[in-house]
Amino acid sequence: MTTNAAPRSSRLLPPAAQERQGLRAGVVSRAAVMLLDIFVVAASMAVAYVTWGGLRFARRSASFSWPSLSFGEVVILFYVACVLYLTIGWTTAGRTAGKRVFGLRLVARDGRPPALGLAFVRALVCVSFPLLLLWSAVDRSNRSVADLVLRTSVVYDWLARPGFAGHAGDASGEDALGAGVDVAAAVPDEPDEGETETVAGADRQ
Amino acid sequence: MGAGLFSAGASAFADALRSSMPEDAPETQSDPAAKIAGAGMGAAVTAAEAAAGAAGSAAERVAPLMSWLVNPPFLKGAGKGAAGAARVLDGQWQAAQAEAVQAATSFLSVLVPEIVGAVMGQIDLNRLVQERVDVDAIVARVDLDSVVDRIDVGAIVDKVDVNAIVERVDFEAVIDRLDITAIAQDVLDNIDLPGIIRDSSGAMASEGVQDFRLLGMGGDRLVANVVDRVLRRSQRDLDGPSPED
Repeated sequence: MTTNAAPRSSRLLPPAAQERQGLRAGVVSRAAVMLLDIFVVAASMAVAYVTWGGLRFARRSASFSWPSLSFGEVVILFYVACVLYLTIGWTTAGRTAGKRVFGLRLVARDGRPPALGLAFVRALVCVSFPLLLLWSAVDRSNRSVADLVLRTSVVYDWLARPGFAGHAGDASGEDALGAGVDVAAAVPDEPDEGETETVAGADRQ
Repeated sequence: MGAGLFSAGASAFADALRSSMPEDAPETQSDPAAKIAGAGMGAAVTAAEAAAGAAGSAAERVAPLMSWLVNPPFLKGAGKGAAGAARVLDGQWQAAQAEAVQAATSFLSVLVPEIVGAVMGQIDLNRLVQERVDVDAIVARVDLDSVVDRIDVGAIVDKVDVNAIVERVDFEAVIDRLDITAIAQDVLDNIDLPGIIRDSSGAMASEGVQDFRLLGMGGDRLVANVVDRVLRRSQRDLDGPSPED
């Protein structure tokens, strides 16, 4: 794309967003994002469960019964689904569905979305210890423990593409081309993978 | 016509002679100047007419001249003969004067424009003006403001029928000469249309959730302020990393 994409893009934003564009987000927005993401994953799992039941009914309608899962299995599936969901969302565009709604983006030290490995490790940390997020309320630069350890940042970014405009300069167009769209694709895709896990796990039973 | 020219010149010469005479000169002595001049002119007229092959009447007019020219008493300075001949010639001149002057006038009216035209043709007026005229000085002396003030531009514009002018313009010819495709391509190359569409659609899509986002921002600030006040800290450093860091 062009080198002046970032300044041009920031002009599209409302003034309040322009002021905060590129700054690290606070604990309220991030907690809201976390709740929204949890809801998205849970809803996706529910949809996957209903789909799985429908497939069972189509195959054996006479002896149909809803698939049964233990609480522990549900927790494990939920954990795996969350890690996959966060990893894919963060590494593709730096944002999940929840971050997209609240206009946040996860960036690495270079200001770009994290690489796959970094995103996966951070997802593991965040899903395992979600309350560590609360440290961002105390930290002087609004960083959670995961951010401090992995040197990542969650910033306000209302733009569709990574390479926020708060810092005028090169918009990282080439590596982020179409990434804003990919997020939307990643969100429904991810639960499908969870569903695959679910089905595979159920077949083993 | 030549005689007419001479007659005009002679009149001027006679006037000059007369004006050069002393004021106190007797009236009778002022006349001879005119008479002599007139006589000269009469002789010129007669000679011209004779040379042109005039008819016998002209020859009769020549006779006194000839006799006057060959008259010994005149040559010896005798006054009487000369005065008489001069009177005759002057009378003839007076008679022919009107016709001669008219001929000269008509001749001049034809000749002068020709001469002026030829002269103008030889003169490079532009160069002359450039060399001799200080246009800047002239323009500096012109009060252009007052000139402009005197011009009613509105009235001039009112007189212009813009619609008529526009109707006479062949826009299709103009458009044909423009490479619209190249221009459009150039514009598209420069404005990064896909990027604008992507960004604007992102910004537009966020309009529905703007309240959510602004609410979150407000909450972030509120919590940060409360925590900072409890911990007695100054403002936070919230600058995130930028891609070029």
